[in-house]
Amino acid sequence: MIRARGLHKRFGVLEVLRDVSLTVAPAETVVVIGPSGSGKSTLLRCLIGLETPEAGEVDIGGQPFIRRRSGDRGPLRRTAEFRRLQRQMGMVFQQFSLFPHLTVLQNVALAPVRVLGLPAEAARARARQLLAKVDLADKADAYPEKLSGGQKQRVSIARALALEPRIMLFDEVTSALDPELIHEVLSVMKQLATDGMTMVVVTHEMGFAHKVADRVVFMDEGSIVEEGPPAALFGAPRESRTRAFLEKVLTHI
Amino acid sequence: MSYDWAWHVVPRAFPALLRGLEMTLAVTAVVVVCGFALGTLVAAGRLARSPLVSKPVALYVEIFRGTPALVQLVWVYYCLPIVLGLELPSFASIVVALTLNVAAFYGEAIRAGIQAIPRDQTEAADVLGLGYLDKMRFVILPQAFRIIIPVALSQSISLFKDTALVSTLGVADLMYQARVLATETYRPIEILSTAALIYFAIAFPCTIATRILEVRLATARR
Repeated sequence: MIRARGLHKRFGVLEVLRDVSLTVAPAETVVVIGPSGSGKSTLLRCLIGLETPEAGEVDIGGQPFIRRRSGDRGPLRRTAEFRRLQRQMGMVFQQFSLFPHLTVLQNVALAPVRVLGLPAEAARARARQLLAKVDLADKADAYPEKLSGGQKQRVSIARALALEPRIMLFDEVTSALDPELIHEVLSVMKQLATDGMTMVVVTHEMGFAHKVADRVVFMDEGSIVEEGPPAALFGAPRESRTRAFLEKVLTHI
Repeated sequence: MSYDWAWHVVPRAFPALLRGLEMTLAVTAVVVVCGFALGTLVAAGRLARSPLVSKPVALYVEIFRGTPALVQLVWVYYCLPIVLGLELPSFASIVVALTLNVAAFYGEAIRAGIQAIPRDQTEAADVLGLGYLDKMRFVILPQAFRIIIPVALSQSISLFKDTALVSTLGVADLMYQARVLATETYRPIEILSTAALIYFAIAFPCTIATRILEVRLATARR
């Protein structure tokens, strides 16, 4: 479903991605873990074309989405084909990024009307359905500022789902939440994974990685160090860097 | 030394001053509308990716912000006909000059308002597949206008006062009428004070209204 090969990305002198390749199968849930600054979020942002890699390729559903050779300059061109492939992926951000001047329902219904060309009434009906799915049917007419972080993030998930993407990308979506609100977001994501959505999840929630992931990818210093099924990666990590990281995050006081 | 005030000239001067005020308001209204339209294009040009577009637009903005409006007026009025061989009626030429002037200021206000919108809003719109125009219309501009409107209003109030400059080119605005009447009556102090009061009576309530609106918009949902 996703095939990324040889991604390189630098910010100034800092090499954020060094030759990263990742393949995600249909209906697979891949969880990416690693220390801050290891390049996890940048990888996700490269997959969906929000960052322009210096070099590398990304295919979505077998079709070429990004082709970059070292020496190519300037940002990615947002051609019709680029946008068509880009919206096969839905993305949820750490900071929710809801549109503050629109109601919850308008947030979810905007893209289906403007991008898919759905009639307004049909888009609103779809939006209501999705809001019910994330258990927020009663908040349809509220503005985002009236919602808790967990509610905002669930709206954000519904908004991404409204375009019926084949792939969902989650970029540290629980990192800005109060601890008691994390669960409600994770359980929506878990349901999505169970329903067969193809997902790439960048997170610090090791419990989620353990229970929901089909495969866990550990990144450090811009490279994929190790990957494997959660039982293997958490139970018997092969690399010393993986062990060191897991010891730190799994040892609670 | 004592001055003999002669306020009796004022009531007789009033009808002419009000005719002048009509012209002042007409110039202001036309220039606000044209200037805002051009200013939107200026902002789009300043934000364009290509330096072939953004650099010349930036140069235009700096020229019109960095020279006196009076110089611009005189230049368009006297020099444009020579340079372009194009004779404009005086009303048209002051509208052109003032529009070019305020569009530079509006343009910067609009650009700043757009750039104040956090980057994640653009990214969210991008990954939802919204095209450039939809992204501007439904996501960026509705939020940017809350920042732009108070700034643009206070610039429009400045414009209303600055239109007094057109009197130097013989356009019969409030200032022009006041100067004519001052000469006719030999009572410049009384007449010009009255004109000043008329300007103030319009500008001051607008300033207050702008300030109230600014506070409302700042506390509105975001």
